Amino acid sequence: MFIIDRYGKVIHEKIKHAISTTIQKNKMTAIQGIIVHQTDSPTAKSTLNSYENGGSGAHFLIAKDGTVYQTASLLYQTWHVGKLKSRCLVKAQCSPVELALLKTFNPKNEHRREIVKKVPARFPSNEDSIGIEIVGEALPKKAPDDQKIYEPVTKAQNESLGWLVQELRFVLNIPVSEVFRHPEVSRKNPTEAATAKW
Amino acid sequence: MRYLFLLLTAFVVACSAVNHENDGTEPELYSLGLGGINKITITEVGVKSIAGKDINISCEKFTLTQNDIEEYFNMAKRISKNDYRHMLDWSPCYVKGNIILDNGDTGEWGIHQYRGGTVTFGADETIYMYCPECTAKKFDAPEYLSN
Repeated sequence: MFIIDRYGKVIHEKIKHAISTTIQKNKMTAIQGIIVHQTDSPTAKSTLNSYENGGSGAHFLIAKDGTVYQTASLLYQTWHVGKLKSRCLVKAQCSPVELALLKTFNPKNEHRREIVKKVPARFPSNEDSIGIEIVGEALPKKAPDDQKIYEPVTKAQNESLGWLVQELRFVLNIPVSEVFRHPEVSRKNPTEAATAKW
Repeated sequence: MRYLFLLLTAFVVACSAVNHENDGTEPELYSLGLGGINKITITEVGVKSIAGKDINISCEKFTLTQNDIEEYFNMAKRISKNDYRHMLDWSPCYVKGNIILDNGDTGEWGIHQYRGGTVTFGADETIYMYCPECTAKKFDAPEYLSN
């Protein structure tokens, strides 16, 4: 079992620290879930380099060979989720009022209605979830955006992902029902992390 | 009465969301910086992405006119690839075409229903775009369910 120190760093021999303070945003006061992503980049190094510019990012990065990097402290939010989809729609539990509002179709307003709810009534968001990035490209590399499909997650990456998710769930008391692939919680390319397993 | 209740609910939600405006769901915007544009051509409308083939959304009605595209390239902003992936909504529905710049560079562009787009020049240079201020009505149209 790993330890999280007072700086939000995970202490374990399997985890390398490559923390970019530039992608750390507001304080994260509660951790309710885990969101699994793919980077659309060829190497861990290219993603780590991009984090130096700030903006979006995630807390962990899993390289092609399964090496796990911690890229942000767990004390801070990172921007990795985007606008939330309506969870009540997925669970077929929306009230008539909410269903009527959803028919107007405005993803920004949909997110605003979701973010004021509490997990599990909504999906975990930037405010309360850990992001795990898996290195992997959307291919063909030179093709237009509409023709791109994410490459499969490697066996070594899935082994590391399974271990990391299990440890985080155990230490932070996160139910397995709150671990999601990115396209499940936001409108994203549905092939992102489609082959990720935990 | 029902509409009044809906309006009141929407107002309450909008007010309660004020504190969440800066929650990392809108990208940082930069000048598009393409320089002068010589010609923009639409090659295909209502395209459904390969990745979205299993999604129950029909893209045939997602069309943009020549004026819409010219407005897009006039008003769109450049955003980072990381923000494009994490913050922007992804849609399976695209309009595609070509662009020729005044300096002779040629590129291929694609713009999807949620106001995001890419333009690619040569083998490696892809520019990620977002146009929150574009006025084309099809950007705000409902998703068209296939069934």
